[in-house]
Amino acid sequence: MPVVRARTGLLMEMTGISDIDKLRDILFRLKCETEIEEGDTIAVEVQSDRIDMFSVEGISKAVRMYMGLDRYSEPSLKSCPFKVFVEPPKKRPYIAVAAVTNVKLDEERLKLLIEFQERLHTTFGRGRRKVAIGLHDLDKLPSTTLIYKDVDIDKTTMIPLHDYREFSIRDVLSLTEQGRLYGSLSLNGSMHPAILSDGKVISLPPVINSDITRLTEGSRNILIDVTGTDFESVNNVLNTIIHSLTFYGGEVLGAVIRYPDKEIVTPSIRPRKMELDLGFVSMWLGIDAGRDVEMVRKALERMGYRVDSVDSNRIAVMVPYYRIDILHPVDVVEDIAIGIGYEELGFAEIEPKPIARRGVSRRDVANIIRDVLIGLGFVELNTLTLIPQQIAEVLGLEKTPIVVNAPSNEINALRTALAESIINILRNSQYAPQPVKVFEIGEVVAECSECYNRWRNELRACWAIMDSETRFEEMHATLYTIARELGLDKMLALKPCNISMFTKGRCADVYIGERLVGFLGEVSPEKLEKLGILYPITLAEVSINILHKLISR
Amino acid sequence: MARETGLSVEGLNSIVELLKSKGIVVVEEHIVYIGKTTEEGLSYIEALPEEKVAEFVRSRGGSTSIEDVRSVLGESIASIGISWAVRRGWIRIEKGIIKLQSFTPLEKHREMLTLFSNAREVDENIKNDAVFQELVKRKLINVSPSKRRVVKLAIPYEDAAKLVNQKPAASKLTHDMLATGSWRNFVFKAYNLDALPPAIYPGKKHFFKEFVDMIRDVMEDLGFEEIDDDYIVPELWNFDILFQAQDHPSRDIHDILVVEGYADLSMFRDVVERTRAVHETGGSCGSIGWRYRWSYEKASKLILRSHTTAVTARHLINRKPPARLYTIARVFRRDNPDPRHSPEFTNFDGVIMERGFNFRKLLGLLAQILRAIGIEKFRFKPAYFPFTEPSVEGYGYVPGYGWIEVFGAGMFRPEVLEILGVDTPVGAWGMGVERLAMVVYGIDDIRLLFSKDIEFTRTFPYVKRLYMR
Repeated sequence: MPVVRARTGLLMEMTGISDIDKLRDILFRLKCETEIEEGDTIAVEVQSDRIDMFSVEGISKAVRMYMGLDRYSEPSLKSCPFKVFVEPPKKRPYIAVAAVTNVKLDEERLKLLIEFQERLHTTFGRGRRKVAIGLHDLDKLPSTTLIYKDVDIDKTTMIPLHDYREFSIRDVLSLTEQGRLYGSLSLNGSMHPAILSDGKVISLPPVINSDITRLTEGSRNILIDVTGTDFESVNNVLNTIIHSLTFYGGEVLGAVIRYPDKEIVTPSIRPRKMELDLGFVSMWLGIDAGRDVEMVRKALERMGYRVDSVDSNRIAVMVPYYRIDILHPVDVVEDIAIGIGYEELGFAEIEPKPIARRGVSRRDVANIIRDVLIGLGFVELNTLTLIPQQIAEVLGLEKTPIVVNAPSNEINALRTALAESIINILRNSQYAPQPVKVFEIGEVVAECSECYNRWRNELRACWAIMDSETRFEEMHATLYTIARELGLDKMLALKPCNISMFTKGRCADVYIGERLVGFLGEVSPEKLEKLGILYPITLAEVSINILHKLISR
Repeated sequence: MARETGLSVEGLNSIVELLKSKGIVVVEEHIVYIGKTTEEGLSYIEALPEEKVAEFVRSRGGSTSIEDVRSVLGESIASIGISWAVRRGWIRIEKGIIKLQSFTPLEKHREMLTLFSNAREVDENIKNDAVFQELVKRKLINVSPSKRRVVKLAIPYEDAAKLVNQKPAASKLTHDMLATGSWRNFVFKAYNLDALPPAIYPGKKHFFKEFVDMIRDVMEDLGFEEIDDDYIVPELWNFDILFQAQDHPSRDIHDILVVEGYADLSMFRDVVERTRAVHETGGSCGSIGWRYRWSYEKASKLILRSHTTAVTARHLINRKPPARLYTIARVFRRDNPDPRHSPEFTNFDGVIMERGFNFRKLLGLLAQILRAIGIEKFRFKPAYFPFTEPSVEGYGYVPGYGWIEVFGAGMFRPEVLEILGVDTPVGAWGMGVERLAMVVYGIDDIRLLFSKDIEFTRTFPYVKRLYMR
């Protein structure tokens, strides 16, 4: 989750709330966790859907409205002085442009503004791939006529931000830090998107701006360019920034964007009208919205909506232009709940409903096996399903699912037998007082050629002994006891096995009637040696899925 | 003692040492002097040389020549005897003729020689006796120092007598002793109560699995049925049916674990088509959707499920109300193990689909669950999840720790309901189980829950299970 850090005093000043506990409580109600950090800093963790609250201004505005200190008001789009001619760059075809006047910048707020920009880049902008933002000092702009197009990186030059020298775009991409980080995102052969004003490159989206229009703490009028791969997202981000910058009461200047096939105006800051069915609100939240319509109206207003009209069945609201998270009336319903307060809504408990138990469940079978093994002195384990592929290879287990992007070789495969996890644990437990008697009941993942997803889970039980000496009989005796407790001992049969982890002639396939349900045996000295284990291990493993089927039948 | 007991000296020594170590006897050591008549002394036991000389002279009438004495008594006896007889004043020698003056037989000398013919200790009286000292000086008795060990009882005689009458000791009672009655002949050794016992371990349930079972019991009491699904699933179940946009950051390859290959979704055509429609245009539920081109291929990609809402949501597909379902099972994330992260952990997810179910009831149900698992104090915070609206995070207060985020919950979005083919409101929640268990059990490293260390698991006290109460 993104975190906005600011001086506590600044946030108090901007929200108009000087009681820190009260401020934190309101932020909590607005989905934000807060923490007071050293140096009089407040860290506000904002939720990723509310990108309008990614800035100190956006947070302040939301808090002020929640407290009734402000009401939602649309900024005025006074004029559209900018003309943007777009020759859509191949890898970054969309652009939106606007400016905001009378922004109250100083050193602190400029720093916060840049952090806000970066926050949008890394989250919503998907690391600038989807959306990137350029901020400029409007008063330094050479011309209000802009061109957005791919330029030849060898034939075009610019002065990158914080420099005074003119470089070729190719050099900007290879020499600046931003160039190395983002230079490949929109590069198309030797062509790269650029925004030109009066023939000069003012921005190289999504990499870097030009120093010509550099923003300083003295800047008052700010030009915003937003470029990207998705039309909606580009316009949404522009609106989000306008919302923050108009906190200080400035005006918005728009742009006419001329694509080859159409002409549009940015920003689009008219609110969306949305009609809410009060019955839907009541059903969803469990309140009587028709009766408490005043409460609903108040909740909506403190959440920044303008209530357009109300009748007995529906309420029409104007959704602020910066609320890009409102996809469906249900999103407004949530804001009603937040506006009222979750605690204030009141809780309605549900009736417990006893379940009629039928037959023997898989969990019942697992619990019988568990109880028997505990009675016999085995200690239950809780291991990872993820294993090192090396264990599967050494034990000779085939058809193991491999994790293709594992962060380490310790967890790059899934077990197809619990024995793999257990042997891995025993390998690490050779120091412990013996005997080590352990078991686990857990899932394995087995290949399934007829399954739609190719791999199927299976619940199994595996138990093992590691001691200075341990023999087949100990496993056989345990298995027999489990079979007896499950009422299956008469059908239990052992047949010669051919499992490579065991010593030949000292292992068995376990059958219940005609069904193969598992295996047991002495782990072979070759395998133990390969795994660096110096104590004999015997183990047995059975499928609870199959045992459950047999018992249910 | 060796003589009396018939034991060898070596055997006796070791027994004495043992008794000494048990404080039954003390052993004292003295230096004593042993006198022994020498070979020469032994040859004088009948008569000393001077006696022989005096007797001989008397037998010659009180006077005879030295030559006569020498030729009859021998050179050695004659010279020693004449010399000592002169010293005692028994004879006088004038011009080669010996004349007897007087004679007193040396009976005491001869007794002394006899006394020491077998080596014996020299007592204080004898040591100061002039005769004895003379004999020692004449090398007729040899005196040498020697160590003497004296064993003395260190306990009263009565106690010693009791010990002597005691039976042999045994360290355990056996079937044989009982069968033959021989147990009567033994006393059983007392235990050393300060010694540590040998290490043994009970068979034991894993404490974390017990915590999971506790939650299962709570859910079943509320009427929820447990469900499950495979670990390896297509992204469709994990993300798409939950209305998570295909470029959503949580679907990033850096966050989820991927298995090679694709699922065959042909048998799920209706869900797939509804998913496509809702993602692209919002479908018919009144949503504007994500407005992008939805990829069937991406939805088919096999991954390790990253949350179990993938399980609960899938089980609702085309299902009729009412349904109360939960699952508590493993999920996977692309994290390297460290104290706070595990690539695999346990999710507890639930859904409730009932006519008339709403957000207030969801909050009520969550409160019921929290109280049942022992969290009395809690707060609900508005939150954001892509598939629920309204969304809520539950924070619980754990005494001794403080506030902890326990779960995320909400009402499934209408978009999700349309995809699932459900027309009733559904409440859903999910939580990571390990974090809460760690706080409850006071464990600060998540890896300890996955028992690489067998000692940790088998010595984890049962009593900690009660900490939640």
